[in-house]
Amino acid sequence: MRFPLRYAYGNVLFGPGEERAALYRLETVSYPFLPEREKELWLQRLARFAFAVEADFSLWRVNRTYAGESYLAQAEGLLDERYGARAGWTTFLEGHEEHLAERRAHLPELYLAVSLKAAPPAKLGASVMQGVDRARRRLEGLLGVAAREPIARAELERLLVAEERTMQRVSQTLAVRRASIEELQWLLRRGPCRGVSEPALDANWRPNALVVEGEDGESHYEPLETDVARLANAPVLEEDRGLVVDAEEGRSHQALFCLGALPEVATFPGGRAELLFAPLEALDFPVDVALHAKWIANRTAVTQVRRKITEADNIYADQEEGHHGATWQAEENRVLARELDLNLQGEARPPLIKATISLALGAPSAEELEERIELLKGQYGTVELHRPLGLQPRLFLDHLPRPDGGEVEDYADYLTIEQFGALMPVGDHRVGAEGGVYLGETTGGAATPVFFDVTQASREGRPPTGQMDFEELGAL
Amino acid sequence: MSLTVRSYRRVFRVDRRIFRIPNTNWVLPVPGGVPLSALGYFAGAFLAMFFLGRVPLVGAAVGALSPPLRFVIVPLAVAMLLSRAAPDGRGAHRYVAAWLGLRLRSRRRSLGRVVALEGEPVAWQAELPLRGDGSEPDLRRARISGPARLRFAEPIAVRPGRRRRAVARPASAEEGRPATTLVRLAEGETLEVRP
Repeated sequence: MRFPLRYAYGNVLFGPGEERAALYRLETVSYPFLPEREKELWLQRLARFAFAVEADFSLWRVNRTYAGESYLAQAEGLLDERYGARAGWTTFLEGHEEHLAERRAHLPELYLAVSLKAAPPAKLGASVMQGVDRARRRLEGLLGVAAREPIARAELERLLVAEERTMQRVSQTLAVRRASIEELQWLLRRGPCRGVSEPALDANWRPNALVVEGEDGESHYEPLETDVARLANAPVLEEDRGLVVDAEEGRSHQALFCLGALPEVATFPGGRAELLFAPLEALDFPVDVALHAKWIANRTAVTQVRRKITEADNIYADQEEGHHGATWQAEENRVLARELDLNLQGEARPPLIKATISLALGAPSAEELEERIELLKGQYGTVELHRPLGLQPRLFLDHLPRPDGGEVEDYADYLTIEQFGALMPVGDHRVGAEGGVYLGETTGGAATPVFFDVTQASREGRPPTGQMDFEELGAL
Repeated sequence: MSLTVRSYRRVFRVDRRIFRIPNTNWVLPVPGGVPLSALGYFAGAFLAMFFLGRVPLVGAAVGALSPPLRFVIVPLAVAMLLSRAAPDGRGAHRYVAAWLGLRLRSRRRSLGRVVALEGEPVAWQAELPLRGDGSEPDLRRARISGPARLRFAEPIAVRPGRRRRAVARPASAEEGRPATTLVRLAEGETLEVRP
C-alpha cells in the first residue's frame, strides 16, 4: 500500500509509477426537478461521455459543507438603502447566517480524473528506447529495487497536449473545467477529517519539484513528494471494518463500503437505477462516492463476450448431461450473453466499463457512525453494501484523487454505458441562485439551501424567474 | 416513457462446475455438480495438511489424525465450506487472505509508516542530541561574536571580562547588576551566555 499521488502539475496528476491523469471538475445538474425526457437526455449524455472518453477514468462525488461563513458579506450588498434600513437588513441576514451555521448543509461536488497516455515520440529510436526503459523499470519494480524516476520535460509537454485533447473530448458531452490546485488540496485534506469538519486550507500551497539536468542535457522534474503526501498524512487506526483517523481537525470514525451487484433489471428514471444520486441525496449527512472505471474498447469487449457465450453454452451442455438437467439460470445466461453480444455489435459499437464503486462515510463518534450506516443501508435497500474486512485502508486511499484507477478490484463489475449513465452521479438538489438571500431549503434529506438573487437575471442577461424556477421553488 | 436498464453481471460471473468426468460416461453423483473452486480449495487444504504435519508441535497434533481423516475428510470439509461461503461478497480465499493480513500488519499507520497505538508506551534507547536555535523559551548556553544585536526573552545581566569578552547570566543570578533584554555587540566583541 503506497500513497497514490506523487506530484501535480496544474490539473495533471502523477502517480508513483507511470500513471498519469487529468483532473476535472464536473458541473452537477438540479436533477429531481427535471421532466422525464430531460432525465433520459442526461442518461444519454453520461453514456456518450463513457463512449467518447476512450480511457480509464475515476469519478469522485464528494460533499462540501455549506456553513454560511461568506453569506453575510455577499448578501449585505443587495440592500437598496433608499428603501430599507441598513441595521434591520443586517440583523435579518445575521439570523439567516446563524441558521445556516446550525444546519451545516452539504453540497455535492463531482471530480473526474481521466487517464492520460502521452503520444509516443515521433522518432522510432526514441520510441524503442522508451519501451525498453519501461520494461526495465517494471523488472526493477518486481525485484523491489526500483527508484523513482524524475519526470522529463519532454514527457510533461506531451502530457499537456494529451490533456488538451482529453479536455476537448470530455467537454463535448459534459460541462467541465480543469480542477484548480486549491480543489486538489481540498480533496486531499478532506479525507482524514471526513464527516467531522471542513479542512483548513493553505492558500499558498503548491506542489514543488526540483528542476535537474539529465545526462542528455534535458530538464527533468524531481517532485518533492512530501508536498502532496503531507496533506493526507494522519495516523489511521485500522479496525476490523472501519478506520479511526486522527486528523488535525479532529478524530474521524470512518467506514468504507463497496457496492455489490447492481439490480438485474432497473427502471429509469427511478431510485434502483440512479444509485449514485437517489440514495445519497435522501440522507441528511454526507456520503462520498468513488467510482474507478476501466474502459474496455468494443473489440476487446466483443472478444470477451464471445468467450463467455462459449462458456455459457458449455455449462448448459454439461448441466444437460447431469442428473437433473440444465437449470433455468444456465439457459438464461446463454440468452443474456447473446443479448450483450448483439448490443456490442450494434451500429454504435459501444465499449464496456469495468467499474468498482465504493462509498465512504465519516462521523465524529463510533455510535453516530453506526447510526449513519444503518440509514445508508436502508436507502440502498436490496443493493448490498459490503463493508469489507481488511480492505478499509485501501478503500480510504481509493477515495483520494489518484491517477491509477484505484487499487481495490474485488468488487469490480462490468457495466454497459447505459448502466453507467443511469447511475446519475451528476444529479443534485441544487436550485435557485448561487448567492443572494436565503429563502429556505429543499425537501428531502439533503436539505440544500436555496438562495434568491434579485440582481442575477440582469447581471446574466436572461429573463427573470422562468417556469423551471417556479417548479423548483415548489419543492421548498 | 421509462427505460429498462439491464445488468449483464451474470454473463461475466460464471459459476463453473463439473458434472461428469471428461471423456467418460461417469456422471458425478453430486446434485448440481462440483464447483471448480471447490477443487482448488481441496488441493489447498490437502497441501496445508501435508506441510502442517511437518511443522514442530503442530505436526504432532495433525499427525494424531488418521491419514483418511487428514488427507480426505478434512480437505473435503474445508472445500465444501469455503466454496459455499462468500463472506463480504467475495471469494473465501480473498477473505482469508485479508483476515490474515489484518492480523499480521500493524494496526496504526500514517502513510505507510507504523505509529504507536494510543496510550502505547514508546521505548527510547538511543541518545537524542538537541541543539537550540535561539527561539526556545529557556536561556541556553551560547557564544556570540559581534557585530550583533541580541534580544533576550528574559532579563539578563552582563559582566564585562578581559579581551573584549563579556558573560551574560540570568538577572536573578547576578544580583546588583543592571538587568536588560537587549545587548549590542561591536565588531570583535564576544558574549558568552551562561544560564
